[in-house]
Amino acid sequence: MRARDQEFAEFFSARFDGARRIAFAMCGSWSDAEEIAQNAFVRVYARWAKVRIDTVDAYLRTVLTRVFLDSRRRGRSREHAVAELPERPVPPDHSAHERIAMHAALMAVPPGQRAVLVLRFVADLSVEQVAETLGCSTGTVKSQTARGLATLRAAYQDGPNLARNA
Amino acid sequence: MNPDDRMHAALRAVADEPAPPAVTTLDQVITKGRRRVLVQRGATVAAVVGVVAAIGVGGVVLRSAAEGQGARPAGPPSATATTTTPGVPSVPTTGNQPPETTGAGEPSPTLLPGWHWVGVPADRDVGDDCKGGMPAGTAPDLSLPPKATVTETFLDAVGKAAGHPTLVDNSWEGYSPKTKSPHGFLDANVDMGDGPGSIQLEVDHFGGTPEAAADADLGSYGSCAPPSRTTLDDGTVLQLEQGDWRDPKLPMQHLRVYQPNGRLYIVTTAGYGKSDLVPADGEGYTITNGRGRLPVDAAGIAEIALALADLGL
Repeated sequence: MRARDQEFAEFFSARFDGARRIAFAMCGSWSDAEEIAQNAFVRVYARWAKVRIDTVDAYLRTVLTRVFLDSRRRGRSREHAVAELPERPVPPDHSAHERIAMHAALMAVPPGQRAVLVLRFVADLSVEQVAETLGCSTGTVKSQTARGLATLRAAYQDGPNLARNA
Repeated sequence: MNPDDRMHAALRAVADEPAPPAVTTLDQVITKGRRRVLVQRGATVAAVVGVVAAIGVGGVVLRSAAEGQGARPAGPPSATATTTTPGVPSVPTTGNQPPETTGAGEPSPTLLPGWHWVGVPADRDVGDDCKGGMPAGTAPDLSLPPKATVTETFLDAVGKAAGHPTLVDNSWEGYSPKTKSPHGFLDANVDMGDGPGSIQLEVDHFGGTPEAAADADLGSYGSCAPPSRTTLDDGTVLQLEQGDWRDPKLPMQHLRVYQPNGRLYIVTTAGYGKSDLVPADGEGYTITNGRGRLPVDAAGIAEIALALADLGL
């Protein structure tokens, strides 16, 4: 294996699962998440020689988010907001139930705002890092976060109402 | 814990759901990635071929029209005819903020004092690479400057910036079939300790104003990384591309000098030398071994370019 591929292989094995989880949080489907993460890594590989190793994580986040948003733009008909719990096996515990309810509510948030929420609260990035990832201002990130949280709060409370009852 | 805190906590836990096994393999990603690189390179080559063809066809059409009207005899069009060329999109300037860097293991981009970054227009982004814009005008009929003067100045500047140079290649063609114009070329190799590095000079010409020509060439090396630029008192524009590290062992960097008289000097530094050229099976050469670094830094290549600009030829 060439040195370039060896270096990329290490990056792939260390980051693919995390990227797939972030993509899952954004799109709500493991199969779509797999596709999004795979496309993102293909793009990173194509640009591997140009990307500085100390910024490659940021570049991966940017590509991953763009692939997700592009997939939503191309296939809006496939996008359906889920404000109620989807049919799933009964979760084993309360926290799992709450997590599934939250994910269902998250799918009710528009994709752009959802990407911001996932990057902020799931990937745990700062406002500045999210702005860099999305190529927008910090003000835009803050406003998108506020709107996204408002939509999420409404969907979450209208759904299982776990937050109030817990 | 208030409801908002609970909501944030639940949000953070969204990705903790047990995941099915991943089906994507490294081989799949690498195979698709290589295919993507090939497609992008193909698109770049196609774009260059298309632009060259368009220029050729346009030239023939214009010349035929001029001959048909008896307006003037056939010959090289004057620089004023360049106004028919489509305008170059406005170019955002990123000032003194450092741009995104372009290669793993490469030095950070350097902004020299008095220079500023110039962004590549978004419409030149063809995926992960960029393409140059339309020529800013038709190049003037300009003969080459005296070879001895340019060579002496070039070698002297290379010697100061990178150590003793050895001239390994030179040509001074009144008409080059390759560029279809007068074209000069010098290649000086310098010792980099573990092998040679190359500093090359091309002498060519351009159409339009120096700034318009420099704008038109943004992205022309295939990279979307913004170059840096400075303008001298006489209107000469110097445009320094960021290093090209697509092949980390064989880096290159280009600095283009656009003089108000239409003269274009292109200084190129490369992390390999003539002795690294290996004859290919058919014709030409291939390069498999390089130093993995450039023979001079940004300041060094700028010094060489400034020495040539000072000639005013």
